Amino acid sequence: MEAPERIEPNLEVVRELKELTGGAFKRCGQCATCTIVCDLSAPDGDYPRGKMLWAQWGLKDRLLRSLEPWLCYYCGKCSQRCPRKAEPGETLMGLRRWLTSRYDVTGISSLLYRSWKAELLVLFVVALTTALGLLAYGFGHGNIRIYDGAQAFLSSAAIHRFDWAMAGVLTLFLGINAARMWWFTMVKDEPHKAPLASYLRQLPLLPLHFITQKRFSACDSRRPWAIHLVLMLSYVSLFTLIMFFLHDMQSGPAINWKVHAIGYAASAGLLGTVIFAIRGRLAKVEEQYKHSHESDWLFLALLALVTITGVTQHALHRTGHPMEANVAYVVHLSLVVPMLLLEVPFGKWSHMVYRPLAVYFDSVRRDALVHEKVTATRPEAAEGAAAGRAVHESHA
Amino acid sequence: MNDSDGKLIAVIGGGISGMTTALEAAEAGHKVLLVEQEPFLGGRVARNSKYYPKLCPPSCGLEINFKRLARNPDVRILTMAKVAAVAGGPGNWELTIRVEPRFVNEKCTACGKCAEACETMIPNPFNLGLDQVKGAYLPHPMAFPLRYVLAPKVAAGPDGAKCKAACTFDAVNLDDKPQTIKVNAASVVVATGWKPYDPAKLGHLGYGTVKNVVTNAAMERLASPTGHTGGKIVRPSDGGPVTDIAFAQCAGSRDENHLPYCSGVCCMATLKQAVLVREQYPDATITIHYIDVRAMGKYETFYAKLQQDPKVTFVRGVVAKVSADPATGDPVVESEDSLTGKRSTRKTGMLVLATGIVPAAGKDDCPLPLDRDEFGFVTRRQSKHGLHGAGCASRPNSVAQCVQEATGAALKAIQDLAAR
Repeated sequence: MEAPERIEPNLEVVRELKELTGGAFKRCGQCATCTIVCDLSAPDGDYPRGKMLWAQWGLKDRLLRSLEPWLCYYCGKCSQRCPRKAEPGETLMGLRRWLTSRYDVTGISSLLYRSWKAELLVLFVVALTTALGLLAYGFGHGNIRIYDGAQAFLSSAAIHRFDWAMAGVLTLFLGINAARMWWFTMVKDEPHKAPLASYLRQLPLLPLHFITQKRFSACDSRRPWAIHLVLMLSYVSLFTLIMFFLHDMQSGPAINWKVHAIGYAASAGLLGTVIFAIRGRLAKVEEQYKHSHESDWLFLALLALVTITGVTQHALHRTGHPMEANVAYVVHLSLVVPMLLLEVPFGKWSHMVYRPLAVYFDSVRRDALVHEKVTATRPEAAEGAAAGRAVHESHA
Repeated sequence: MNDSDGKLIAVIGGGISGMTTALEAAEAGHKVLLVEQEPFLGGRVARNSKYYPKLCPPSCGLEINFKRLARNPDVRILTMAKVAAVAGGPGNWELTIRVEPRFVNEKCTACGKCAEACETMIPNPFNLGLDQVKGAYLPHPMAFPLRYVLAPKVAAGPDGAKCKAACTFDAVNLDDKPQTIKVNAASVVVATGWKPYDPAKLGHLGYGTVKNVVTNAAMERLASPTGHTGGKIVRPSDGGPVTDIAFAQCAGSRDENHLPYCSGVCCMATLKQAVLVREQYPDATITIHYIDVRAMGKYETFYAKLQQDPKVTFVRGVVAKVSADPATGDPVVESEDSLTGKRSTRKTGMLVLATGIVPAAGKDDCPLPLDRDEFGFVTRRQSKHGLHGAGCASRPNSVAQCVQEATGAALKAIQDLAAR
């Protein structure tokens, strides 16, 4: 038998997690009800239960290496059945917040999650800067009474260039964070590094899970998955239109219906699901909506405002109010820029990359185990067990 | 009944706690009225198979108490009786007690002729309704008072006359009517006991839907020589032997969705029941799913001894899901052992739910103005009003703890009398 390993709790991490999760995990007594009632926990999986223990001890290295928080879609069954009201669902949600802040190299994410006042301030500063920049550009290059064409206040060509520049910046940040996720989960401290062949074999999973969120649909109740899918597809549609068909959206008076039909449907989808989510978080009936972090509200508020101003500016443009449309457009973009700049690489939206990556990495790990005949138990399982024993003995 | 100059102690509930309080107070020279709703004394203890840790039968302990009661003229016993109304106040509680008709008077010698004559069968209250008994019945072989009872529907029906005709001692009285008795008591001890947590609320543990899922209370009857199987522990579905049995601890207890508190005795009850299974089945596989095994003090050795049994497995993880095996219908138990992180889905022949303790008499069952905690247990806050809880009416207690607490309650009651 190996010599027992001494496991030191990391109280700093525990404190961080209490802030990000609400702290209910401290009540967990490791009865493992949550693991069994979870529709997604793998037959060899020990979560949520195991992650509750790591959170209680603040086991930073294990948590950082863990993909499991990303494999949970918060159906809430675990929290419903938890005999101690230790909120395993919300704990995993908080762990996702914590991991997001840890993957982020800049420290911005951590700041935003810790203080909603700071987040609000940054949002405000970025929004104001954007508005002033747009106004300066508009009055310098165009006419506020003209919405589209050569003399337009904000010409679609200019905005198009701006969009692509911003997309580049966001991709860079998100790419760096995703690379760090890969480093923490698949390379650093990993005794059995997966070979390239495993990465290649499992690669199709990445687009599949990005587009379908297939794993989410395996939860007992499929409604949250369907709603999330509508939200996500609506968003991706609008994003595609804006990145590739901005000119068609803004030129007039003739309407390119192919583009507009998609745009209108996507806007309706976005607005509908956002209203649904806000109502859900206010009603607090469904488990996944019972606990709202400040960041959840800010995100929803931003998304709602962005959608409404986007629709408004378009409607004003199409109904022949170019000046009003230009003003609404400035407001719209002044909300879009901070939303994307903050949420995509540093906030809640980064999960669009982390989630499919986690499913992919998890499959890569399993593939590597099968194909490389690595039969050794994953170390954290054994260590988790050791920690479990330690806790048990301290209770006894 | 005002034969005690108002210096009467009323004890509500004739289980082990109520009997103890009544006896301790009476043997100190005080008048006691013992009110029991069943036709016999002994309550839950009488239904136990064996006590832990010594594994002696409940007759040990009950018998000596019955003997003490029988020879003590200061204890008046009312069976089939309940407190119907309360008036008065501290120092002078006026209790209205309703006594249900037994239809059998004190001339009964328990010869059993009435039962022979009776054809109607009723669910057996002593065996928790797990079997049927004649409508003219002796509640159980050790019943005190040792006297038969006629079920109301038997007394009112054609079987009543048959029973009366069969009785050679003129003990059957079909005209027996409910009676109302008023007493004044200076002190009232509430020892109304406990009932198992309603297993119907434990659907996720297969109760009521999966066969061979039983409660620990039913298990006591299965293991008891006075039970419906004569003490043979068998699978309820087919009466077959037990080769593989699992125990689900904290079935409802320590659960914010059910009973947030620990019921205190279920761990030891399960360990004891595991020993009883082992006594009957030397090769049976026994699996005990637990959160923590709460075997306090000297009970630790009982636990440690069972841990040495190679075919007893302790799994640190509750039973979170129970389904029926598609082929046999037997329980399939799912849990994760949090010490190893390994999940298991195991088919077992029988599953015992270690259901917890709930106060038996709620607000609706007991009209006394009792201060209760959020779970219905009687608090100590009303002691100065001459109202005291004892035994499982005040908290989940083992038999030994009940006896100790009931003795303490007797002292409290005596102090109430002295204060007058």
